[in-house]
Amino acid sequence: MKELLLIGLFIVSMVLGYKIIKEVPSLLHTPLMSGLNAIHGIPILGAMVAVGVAVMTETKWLGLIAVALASINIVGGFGVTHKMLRMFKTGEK
Amino acid sequence: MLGISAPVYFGMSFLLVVGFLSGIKKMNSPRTAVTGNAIGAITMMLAIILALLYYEISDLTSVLVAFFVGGLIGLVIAVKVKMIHMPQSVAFLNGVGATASALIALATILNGDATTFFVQVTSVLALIIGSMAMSGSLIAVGKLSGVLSPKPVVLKGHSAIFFATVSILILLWALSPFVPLTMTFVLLALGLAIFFGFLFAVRIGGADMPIMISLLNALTGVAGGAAGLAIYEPLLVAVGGIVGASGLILTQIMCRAMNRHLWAILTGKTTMSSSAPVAKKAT
Repeated sequence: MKELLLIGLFIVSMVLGYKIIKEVPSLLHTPLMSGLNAIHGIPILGAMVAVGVAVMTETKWLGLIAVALASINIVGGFGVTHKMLRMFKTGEK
Repeated sequence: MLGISAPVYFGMSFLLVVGFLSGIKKMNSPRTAVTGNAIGAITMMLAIILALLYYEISDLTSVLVAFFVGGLIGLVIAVKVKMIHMPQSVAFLNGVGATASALIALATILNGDATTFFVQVTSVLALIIGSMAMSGSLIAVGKLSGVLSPKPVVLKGHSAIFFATVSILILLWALSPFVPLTMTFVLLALGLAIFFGFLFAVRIGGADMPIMISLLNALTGVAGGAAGLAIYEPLLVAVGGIVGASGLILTQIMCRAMNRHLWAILTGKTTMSSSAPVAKKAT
């Protein structure tokens, strides 16, 4: 039952993700890609859970490495996107 | 610790999903894009805090250390990167995120949590997609930074090896709920998926790289969603699904803008001037 709900959630979110992107001006393709890139650092949640449920030292380390990697993805991703967007703004002025 | 009950967590997750969606939506237009990015970042921060409170992680100190180490590295990348190095840094960050998803799947399997049909299927899927997005992104980084040749590399019998690898990967995935997920199985799936990412990326030419990175981006989203299914994390499932689908649409839009067909790019056809009947360089 829980599984079906999760699969349903996955499908609904895919539809939402599909709808949300419309006619993006080509100027924004790269920043949008970069922004999406930052958002998919969300596995950090999963990585934290993995650390929490780990019963072996090895899996705990895997989880911790995953936390570190995902946070590189998040901080780097939003930072790089911001830098890119700021660039456009000064270019327009 | 503050105890948050499951319904409250789901309700707040829903609000966070709305936050991510409005962030992405605002990034569709140049005027609101900076705000959109900021909304995304803030929502992400809230999501991390919420998950820390809800899951009451026992080893909080090491999680926070890992988080700050990673965050610091990310910050250095974001501050130091030059405009000209943007594409490879996005590819690099994508590869890093994909690795995180693959590691979650790996930890779930090695932990012995993959005991039900559902968890076996989803964790193996996350492992395969995550590791192929990882190796594909690394090849992209190599090509864009000039370590590897930016020209498309076509191996002897590339398509045959390509389809054989896909078939074995799909077979492994289909088998995953029926066989014990031994170390051999995991390593085989991991190795093949990494090899597939290499096969996929090495054939794509320098000019098509942004499209490929966008596609890998979508793949990483799907890998995150699959990892979320494997560990029953609704927020991860939802955001993975959103990024997976919107990444795919963005890939399509980028293809159209560059007047290219996704399939032609994937099979490396029109980038090879020798075999292309209409030798048109897309620049």
